[in-house]
Amino acid sequence: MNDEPRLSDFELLLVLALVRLGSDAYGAALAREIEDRTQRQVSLGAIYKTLERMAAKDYLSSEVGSPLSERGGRRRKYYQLTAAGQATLERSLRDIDALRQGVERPLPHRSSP
Amino acid sequence: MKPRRRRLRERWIGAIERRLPASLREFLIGDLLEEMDRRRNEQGVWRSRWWAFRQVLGLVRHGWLSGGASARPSGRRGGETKDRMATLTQLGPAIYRDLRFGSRRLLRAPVPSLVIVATLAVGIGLNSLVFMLADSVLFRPLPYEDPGRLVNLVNVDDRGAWYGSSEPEVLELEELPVFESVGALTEAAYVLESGERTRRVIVARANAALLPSLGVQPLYGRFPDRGDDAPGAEPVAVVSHGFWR
Repeated sequence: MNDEPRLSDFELLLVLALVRLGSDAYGAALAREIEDRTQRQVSLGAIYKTLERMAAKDYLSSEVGSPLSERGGRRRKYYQLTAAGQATLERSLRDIDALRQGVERPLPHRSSP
Repeated sequence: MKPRRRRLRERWIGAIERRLPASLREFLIGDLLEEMDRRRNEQGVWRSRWWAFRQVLGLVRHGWLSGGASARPSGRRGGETKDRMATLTQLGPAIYRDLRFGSRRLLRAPVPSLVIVATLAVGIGLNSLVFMLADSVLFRPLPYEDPGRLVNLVNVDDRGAWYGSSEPEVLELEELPVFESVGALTEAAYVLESGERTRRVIVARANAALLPSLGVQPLYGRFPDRGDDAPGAEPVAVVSHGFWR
């Protein structure tokens, strides 16, 4: 059995948004991307908690941008996926793909018991 | 944005910023400001504010508002502060979780919840009443000039029952050098007739020293003096403001 680490649900959402945004992935942009694509409301507190946790696991690296006037002279912190993060993402997506095989969408309607 | 509104925003943003960890506060607050402006332009002021409010709740829930412990100087005191702040950090999400859990339970069973809330309301009301009475009777000073110097003298018999002093006893008390003045009174209820109307009034028969001993002054006229205490003197009455009106 493969016990290598996988991403949790929210980590997976965040990393997929991060991949989609490429070099423009910072806290607010990630929140916006997840909200626009999934209609799920996510808080910046949750985003940064997860980003920092993944950075501590070496799944993410970060670099700081230049001060911006629309942020009151504050900088953005951009996150990128590291090789370890990419490998974990691959594993998590493989699990999902494996389980999805044979599941046709839209799902057949089931009446409630 | 209007200057007043901008100042208000800077104030609450500043209050949050100070409590965030130094390593992230610039990026978190920058994101908050950037997103608030974007939402205000796209969705309007109120939706942007609602979003910001939810973000602050999210920061509490995820334990970010710790008091900026990492920005504090290190050292013994700094370490203690850090420990306290770490406890607070754990407390924030715990309180949030408890409130959410409590609200869900209350909403799931509205009737028992209402009964509990009503019981609590009655209990708190009764408690307040008892405290109000205790405060006015036991703790609040008497409404006289120098209440700390007033003493109430009563006689107690062998069985512990109280009884009053006679007029000669009051005269003896007046002679004692320990009292500045000795006021004496006895109370009774009378029926006052005025034309066809009758009214029950509480009347105190008192010596001339009573009201000056309490340090009160008449609004009109004069208080009785020593001459009014003399045998055969014309009776003098003092009426209260409430009775007069």
